Amino acid sequence: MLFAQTGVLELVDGSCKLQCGETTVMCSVTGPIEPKARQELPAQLALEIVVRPCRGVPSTREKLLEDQVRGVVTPVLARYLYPRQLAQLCFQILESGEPEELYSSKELSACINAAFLALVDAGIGIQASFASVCLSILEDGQRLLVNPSQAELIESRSTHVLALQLAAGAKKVENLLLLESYGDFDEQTLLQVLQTGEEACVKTALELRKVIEQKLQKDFVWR
Amino acid sequence: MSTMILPGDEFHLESRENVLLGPGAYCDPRNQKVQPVTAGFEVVTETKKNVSVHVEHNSKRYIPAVGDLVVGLITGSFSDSYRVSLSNFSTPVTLSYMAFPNASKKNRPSLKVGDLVYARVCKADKELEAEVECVDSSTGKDAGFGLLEGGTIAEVSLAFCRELTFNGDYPLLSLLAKNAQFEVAIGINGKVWFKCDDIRHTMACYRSITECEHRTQSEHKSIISKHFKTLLNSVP
Amino acid sequence: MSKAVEVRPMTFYPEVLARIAPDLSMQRHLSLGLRPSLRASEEFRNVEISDGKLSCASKETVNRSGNNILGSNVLKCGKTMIVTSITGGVVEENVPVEQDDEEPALENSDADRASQFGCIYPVVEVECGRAGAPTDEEMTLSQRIYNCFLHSGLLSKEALKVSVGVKSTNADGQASIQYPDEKDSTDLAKSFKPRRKWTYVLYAKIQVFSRDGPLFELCWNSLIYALQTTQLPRAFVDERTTDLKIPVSMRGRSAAIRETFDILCDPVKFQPLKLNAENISFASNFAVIELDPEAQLPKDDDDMQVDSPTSVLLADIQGEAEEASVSSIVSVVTGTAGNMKHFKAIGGDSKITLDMIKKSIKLAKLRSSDLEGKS
Repeated sequence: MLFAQTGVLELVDGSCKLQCGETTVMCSVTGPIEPKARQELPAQLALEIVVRPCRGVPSTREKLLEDQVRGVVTPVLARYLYPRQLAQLCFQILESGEPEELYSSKELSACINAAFLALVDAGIGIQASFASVCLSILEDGQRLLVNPSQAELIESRSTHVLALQLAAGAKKVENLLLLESYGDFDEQTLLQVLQTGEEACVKTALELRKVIEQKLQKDFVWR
Repeated sequence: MSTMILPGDEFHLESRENVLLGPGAYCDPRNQKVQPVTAGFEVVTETKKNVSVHVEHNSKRYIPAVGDLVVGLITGSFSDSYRVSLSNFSTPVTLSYMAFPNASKKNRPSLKVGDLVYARVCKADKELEAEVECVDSSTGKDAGFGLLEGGTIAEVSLAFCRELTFNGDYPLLSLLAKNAQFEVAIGINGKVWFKCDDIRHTMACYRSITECEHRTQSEHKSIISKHFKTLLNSVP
Repeated sequence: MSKAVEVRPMTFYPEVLARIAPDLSMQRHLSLGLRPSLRASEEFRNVEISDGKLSCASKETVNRSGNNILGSNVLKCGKTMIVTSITGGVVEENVPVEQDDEEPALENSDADRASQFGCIYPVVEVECGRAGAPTDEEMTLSQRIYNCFLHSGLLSKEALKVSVGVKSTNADGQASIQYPDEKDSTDLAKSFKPRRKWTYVLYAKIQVFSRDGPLFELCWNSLIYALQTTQLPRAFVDERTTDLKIPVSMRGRSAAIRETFDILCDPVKFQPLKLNAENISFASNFAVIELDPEAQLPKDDDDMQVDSPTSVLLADIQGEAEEASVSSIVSVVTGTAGNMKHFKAIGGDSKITLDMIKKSIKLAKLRSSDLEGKS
């Protein structure tokens, strides 16, 4: 389901390429580095997030993605460890996997997972693990899909992106980082989404752990 | 040693008292919980007095810590100090004119922009600019720091650099020494400076170091001999 | 060295403290059971709305000449004022040149949900005394409203189709415009079936004055009110051009016939924009904030020892202190019947529990029915 590789870029501090279904993103992290004067925060790490679309120039759609990723990453970063510093997160969407003019859910969920791997690769302090899934509910309102395909996504009545902060070996859910839903749904569905999404997030987190395990083996290969 | 630990996991600590936190361990000021903030291998060392804990992980960007021996690049000079870069784009550190052996107001050090220095980090508060020195500040005497003339730099990852510095039994440098004569200064900031008399030796050392970083120890010997062979057979 | 240092407590006025230490000010207020805005935790602000008489379709419009506003709303909430004006245009749809008259091509299969819906193009401007490129906040707000609107299904593509009328001049030289769906239309209008299709495009300009807290909810509500007042002008073509056909050479092959029309908007006849009423929904926001036990005011001894909650849900975030000190925000767009259109929860530093989510949905429903009553 999820394929990822860390350390794919040479010149940045941390990077990863992550494929989740039809969506592929590349993420790079540079930091902590010296910020520009206007970015500097006196007591904490400043974040600069850039999302580049898979084709064309960035638009407001990418700005919204940047804002959403920032909302997820900011609370988990150990940002008081690096006062007056800056971390840059760059995302390049390689394959969107969804009609870009209508949706951005799959990209968002892939970006969040990629951000986790790249931050770990860069060694920037984060206080907890996190993982994200995209969910959708088919037109009949019955079937709940985890990480839907493009064909399933456009048939869906509502789409949801869930990101959770996980603890204790990615088994315990500590906090809800993001739940963003669009479409037509009710409270009952939302609670169902939370429940199913929780299991899916834990599963995704375990897969991400495996990727990190491989990374550590690669890092200390000279031992 | 080989327990993998990720952010959000818990350290395997028996007592909560007298815990010393090393790199990768963080104490949340709100709930006073000690937790790992990077992914790596958990290292818990117990002494009579206290328990120290850190996460052994590999990264590329150096964050200054007091006592580290580093290789820096002079990027600017001011009326009383140099500006030194320890890694690209990081906040630069300062090297005071007074932090040299036999320094006085009249006796100014003669480093230029672009020079490499071997120095020690003497101040590293995360809120303030870090400082390095080229003198052993406890004795005030020369301790082998200062300008690195000539030579070249191989950039390696930080964990590999630490291994080269602290593990005296690590065979890489002695294997290299069998093939060539060289001077070496390892900066813990991921920069290995070395200087050979022969440019071909320099090239071979550079290639060996950078390749060995990504290979297992058993392969090192063959990698080194391969590089020396190809370069020494070439016409100077 | 060991000389005692005298520590003097500093005192600030509440407004000053709110600026320099918003979290502390917030926590202190909460320990009194109040918010910095002096509202109760689950109390919303009142909202005043009017259409501002800006629309050119409205009878009592204040500016008649050169006015192209089709729908409008002025929403006042606390200090903040939001002016939404809907403008529009008519665009020609891309139809393949050679296409059968009878069979309109299957535009969308039913399966593709989002492409059945029409959309508006919102531009949010937060006025803060500076000109230049839009800020990140303005861009994300506009895009979020766009996404939310698109997926809400409030507007179907059908509602934006232009039903074209024909302007004809009778023997007396009197011009009249006839529309195919009107009763007294002649055969001319009925028989006129252009090969081309036109649709309305709608833009919403949302101007925000005196920003005082998160804006998405206010902008969304204002947009919904504005769309409810929106009247689309009828559009027609001149009779003389209805049979005008210009041959267009297509790469030297057989010449295809293209019609050209000059489509005009009727200055007097309007028809209301058809919204899918069951999808009308209103937005409300909530903050979750954890109570810091150290910032609480000391309790009197004779106070009952009650287990106080560790976190509270605040409705309708307002003001600097509240906005700066909360990072956990829940935003709900829901209809009165509980059919939700958008839900966003950002769990910043505080924990968002399931109960909080349920409670916020419940409150949002109540708020929604309250707001619906105003339109």
